[in-house]
This record gives sequence, structure tokens and C-alpha cells, in this order.
Amino acid sequence: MREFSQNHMILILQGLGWTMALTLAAMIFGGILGLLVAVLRSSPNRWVSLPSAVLIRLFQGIPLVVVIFMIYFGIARTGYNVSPFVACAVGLSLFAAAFLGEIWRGALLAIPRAQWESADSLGMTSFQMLRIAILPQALRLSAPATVGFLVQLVKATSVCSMVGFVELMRAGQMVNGTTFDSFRVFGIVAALYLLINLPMSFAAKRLEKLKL
Amino acid sequence: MEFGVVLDHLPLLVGGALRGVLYAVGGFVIGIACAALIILGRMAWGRWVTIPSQIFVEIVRNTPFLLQAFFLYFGLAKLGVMMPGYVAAIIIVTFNSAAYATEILRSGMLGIPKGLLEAGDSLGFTALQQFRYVVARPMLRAALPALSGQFIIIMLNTSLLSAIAIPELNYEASNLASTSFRPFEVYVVVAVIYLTLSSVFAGLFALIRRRVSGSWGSERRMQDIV
Amino acid sequence: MSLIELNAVTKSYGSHQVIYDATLSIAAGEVIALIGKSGSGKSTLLRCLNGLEQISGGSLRIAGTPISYEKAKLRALRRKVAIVFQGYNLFPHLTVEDNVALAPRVTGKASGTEALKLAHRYLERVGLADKFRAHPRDLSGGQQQRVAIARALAVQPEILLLDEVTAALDPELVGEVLTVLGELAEQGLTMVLVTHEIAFARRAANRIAFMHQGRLHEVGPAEATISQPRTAELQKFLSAVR
Repeated sequence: MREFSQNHMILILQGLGWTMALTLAAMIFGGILGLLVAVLRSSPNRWVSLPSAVLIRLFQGIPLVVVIFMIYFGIARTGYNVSPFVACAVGLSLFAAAFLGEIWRGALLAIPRAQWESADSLGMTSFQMLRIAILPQALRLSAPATVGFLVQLVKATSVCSMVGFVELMRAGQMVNGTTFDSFRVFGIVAALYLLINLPMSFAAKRLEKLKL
Repeated sequence: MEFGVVLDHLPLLVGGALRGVLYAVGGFVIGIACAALIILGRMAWGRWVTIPSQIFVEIVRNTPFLLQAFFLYFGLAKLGVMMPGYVAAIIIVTFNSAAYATEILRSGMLGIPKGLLEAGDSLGFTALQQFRYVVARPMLRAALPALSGQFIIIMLNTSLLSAIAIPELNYEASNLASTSFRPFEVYVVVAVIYLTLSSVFAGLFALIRRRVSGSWGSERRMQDIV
Repeated sequence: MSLIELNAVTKSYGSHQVIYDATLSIAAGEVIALIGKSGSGKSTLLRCLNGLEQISGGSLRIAGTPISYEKAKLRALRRKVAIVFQGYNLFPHLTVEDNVALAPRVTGKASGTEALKLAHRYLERVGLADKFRAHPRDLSGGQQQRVAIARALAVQPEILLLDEVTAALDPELVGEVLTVLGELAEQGLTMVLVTHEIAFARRAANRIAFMHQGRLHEVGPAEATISQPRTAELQKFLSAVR
């Protein structure tokens, strides 16, 4: 058993760095994929919208930790040696894609039909329509929910500790394991999560009010 | 794919799943009761309840479920507050439910026309009477869709209770994964069990909602996940 | 002794003052109509009388008791001073009779059956004897407003406040509500009403108070005030609404 020291703090801060990295990766890949999910899901063609619908249903019905284990062991089964980071990043990206897709689809649906028609009458293709007229509006409409989801995403990264990836949560557990200074260690970890999340939560609330 | 070993241990997994559901249901019911008390307290005592409860809600909503489990189970033990794992587990599920349900009920209450509240005030109702006769029913009705979504999220989150050694589904799964040498198959079965559970509960809530409301406009909101 | 006594009452929201120096005595049994343009402060003044709005200055006495915003005292005040709103504000999840019986039962400590009897009596009085078990959503606006009046009366208040109670009604439904109010006035209930129905005010009220830019601009006997307005502002208002 050791005293809580500067080195422990550094370990925790490194964990924080990895938490941010995971969040960022999931945001970027999940964001791109989520856009696709939202657009495909809005398609009137059932075969086009089906895969996104399935993705969303899966993440609404299976805990993220189980999904990550499935990815981890699933890839391992094919013979590739997969790092926990990759398994986590893939899992979180899909997770983000599902929920962002659902949020953005809601926003797409909220845009009045007349908007589509006005774009149509300007002689744009449906892709141009989407890109120039509809998406920017939908993104603005969904800004509060999107920012709110980022808080969920940051929290979700903590699940990666369960497959042994050393992000903030895992770093906290490790430091706790050597110092047994549980109250202080988990207190610090909690403070760090709050430090990232609270501003985003407040921003989401602000955006919500601004819109109304 | 080799599911034989896993299916042999199906009763083990189902047992774990039922324990998880038990924690979810217990904690959620107590949590909603707490949330209702918080709302009532806010109506009766204004900011003396609003500010502390807001702080509680924000802390719970902005920290991961797992961390809350560790903090309560290990962190508080350090301060001399020891509790068995199952107590810590039920408290965490309760806290989470209470925090989210408070927000959901609050937004359900926002839908109640201001005039109705004034009508209650003008009839000389106390905060408790106002809550019981004017607020509670429309608030609960408006909150029902979001509450049912929240329950499913809470139920999925019980999978994290394995971190404090609660023998729920995910806990049994990781044991079985390491003893059976069939981890992928184990987690596929586990995923199917969770999917089934969440579908069953979603259907159950839809049934309740139809019984309770009928034509009430349901307010959809993006639920928090972890 | 007057039942309501306003002395130099002011009301502001932050730096925005909406009522200036309102002084007025209202005797028991009197019916006073507050008229004036929208935004002149008449609804705000009315809402001050049962404490829905807190006065910023001056003094306000109801039945000799200075107004207090302490919760228990406010509840006691509201059992003496009932209010009916423009938007009815009936409880949508309760039947008509339960809407009316609720307050007597929970605040007046009447038993369930007593409260229902009371509710039926007042519902009969507003001409809704056949609607006891109906839901508010199944009634017309005029009927809903009459339920709201019955609900206020069931508290057995000393004073009834009415805030533009006919303003949200279709024209053909205004009459039935005004008839009820006219009867109440004849029975000697003290009433303060904010209204746009000048003809009704002239007929049913004892006095009329004209509000203009947050002040009680002209107060006088109903008939004389309408037929011979003294101030230019009231003349202008009356000619505008006619």
C-alpha cells in the first residue's frame, strides 16, 4: 500500500486523456456513420432503412458492455489479435452512430415537407437538397440533443474499463488498488468527469432554451 | 460456433438476468417515489429543496454509473460507511432512477398549464393537495413514455453491477466466458437475453400506457443512456 | 367597514411598474367592474386581491386583515376571496361535480357526500343540473365557465373575483355566463370583475373603475360613469369600444 502521490495523479490524468481520445474517436466515426444511419433510416424504401433500424434496436436493447465484449471476442474468434482500444473504439462508434442517427433522424422528420418541395422546385437533386437545404437545418435543430448525447458518450467510455482498457475509470481503479485511498481517488475521478460533462450539460440546456 | 456449452448453462444466465431485473425494478420503483417526493418538496419549500436536489441530479447525470458504484461501495467504505454489495447496488440504481425520474417528472410538470396551478392555488390548496389533486396525474401521464424508456436503460445498466460483484447476468457471463472457453458464444446468448428482456418490458409499458391514457399526446424525448 | 381596502397600492415587475397608487374601498355586497384597455393593469390589480400577485407598495386589507404572503395566511385568504379565470382552468382529469366538490372536501373539511351535495347545489345554481358527471372536455366554453364559477362559489367565499370571464367565449355563449353573474350580483355577493362587457357592467355593477396606464383613472357609480364620463381618456375608451 502506497500514499497517494503525484505519480498516481499523472496516471489518472493519462486515463482522462484516453477517455477524451475514445470520445473523440467515437464522435468522429460515430458522427459520420450516424449521418448515414439518419439518412438511410428516413428512406421510404424498407430495405434501405432496415439496417439502421436494426442497429438502433440493438443498442437500445443490449448493454454497451455486452456489445463491446461481443466485438472483442468476435474479432478474436476470426484469428486477429484485437487490442481493447480498437474493440472499444468500434463499439463506442457504433453506439454513437445508433443514437446520433436516431437524434438526427428526428430532426430530419421535424423539417416541414414544404422545405423539401421548395428545394425540389429549385431544380436540385435529392442529394444536393439534403446537403444544402435540409442537413444544415436539421443539425441546428438537433444541436441540444447532440451536445446532450456527448455527455452520454463520455460516460459510456467508462464501460471500456471492464475490458481492461485503461481510460479514466480504469486508471482510478488501478490507483485505488495500490493506494486504497478510495474516497479520494474516486472523488478525483468523479470531479474530472464532472469537469468535462457539466459544461456540456449546461450548454445543451442553453441551446434548448435558445431554440425556444 | 459452438453454443452447446453455453446453452447447458442457460439456467445460470437466466438466474443472473432475473437478479438484474430485480435490482432494476426495486431501485426504479423506490427511485420514482424519491423523485415524486423531490418534486413535492420543491413545490412546498421552493429553493431549499430545488437547489440541493438540482445538485444531486446534475452529479448523478454527469458521472458514469460505474463510477457511482465504486464511489459508493469502496469510497464510502474508506470513510467507515460500510455496506454489503447488494445494498450499494440497490442504492445506486435508486439514485440513478431518482435523478433521471426527477428530470422527467419535472418536464412532465412543465406541460401542465400554468392556469391549472393557479386554479389550485386560488382554491387554497396546500402544496401537498396541489400535488395530489392537480399535478400528480397529468404529470405522470405525460412522463410515462420517457419513464418507460428510462427503466429499460436502467435495466441495461445493471449489467455494470458485476463490477461490485453483484451476480447479475453480465457477472455470470464473464465467469462462464472464462470457464467455457467460448466467450463469443456466451456474449451472443447474453445479448439475446437482454434484447428479449428489453422487448418484453417495452411491450409491457406500451400496454400500461394504452390502458392509462388513450389519447393523451405522448411527449418523446431523447433518453440518457449510461 | 369596507371589505376590501386598497391604499396607495403599487405593483412592479423589476423596474417595470404596472400599477400606480391604487386607492379604493369596496363595501360588502358591492359589485365593482374594472374596465380599461388591455395592458392598463386591471387584471394585475384584480390578481393582487387574492394574492396571486404580490403588491410592491402601499397597503391592502381584506376584511380588516392586512394581506400577508405567508403560505398559511395566503391559503386562508383564498378561501375568503375566490377567483374565476378567463381560461376556466378546470381540472381536466376530474368530472364536473368533482371539480366543484374538490376544494370543499380537501380544504373545507366537508365529508365526501357533503361536498358533493354542495357541488350539486352550486351547479344547479349556475344551471348545470344535468352535467354532474360530465367531463370538462365534453362541455361548451360557456358551460365550462359556469362550472368554474360554481367551483369558486363552492369555497363559499366572501368575495368573488372574475378575470375577463367572457373574453374567451364565442359571442353566443357570453349571455349565459352574464346571466349567472347578474343573479349573483342581485343576491348580494361582493364581486370585483374585470370585463370588456361595458353594457353588462353598467347594468350589473354598482360602481365602475376605469384603469388607464396603471392608475385608477376614474371611479364612480356605474350608470353615471358610463353615461357621463368625466375624463377625456374614459370618453375616448368608451367611444372606441362602442
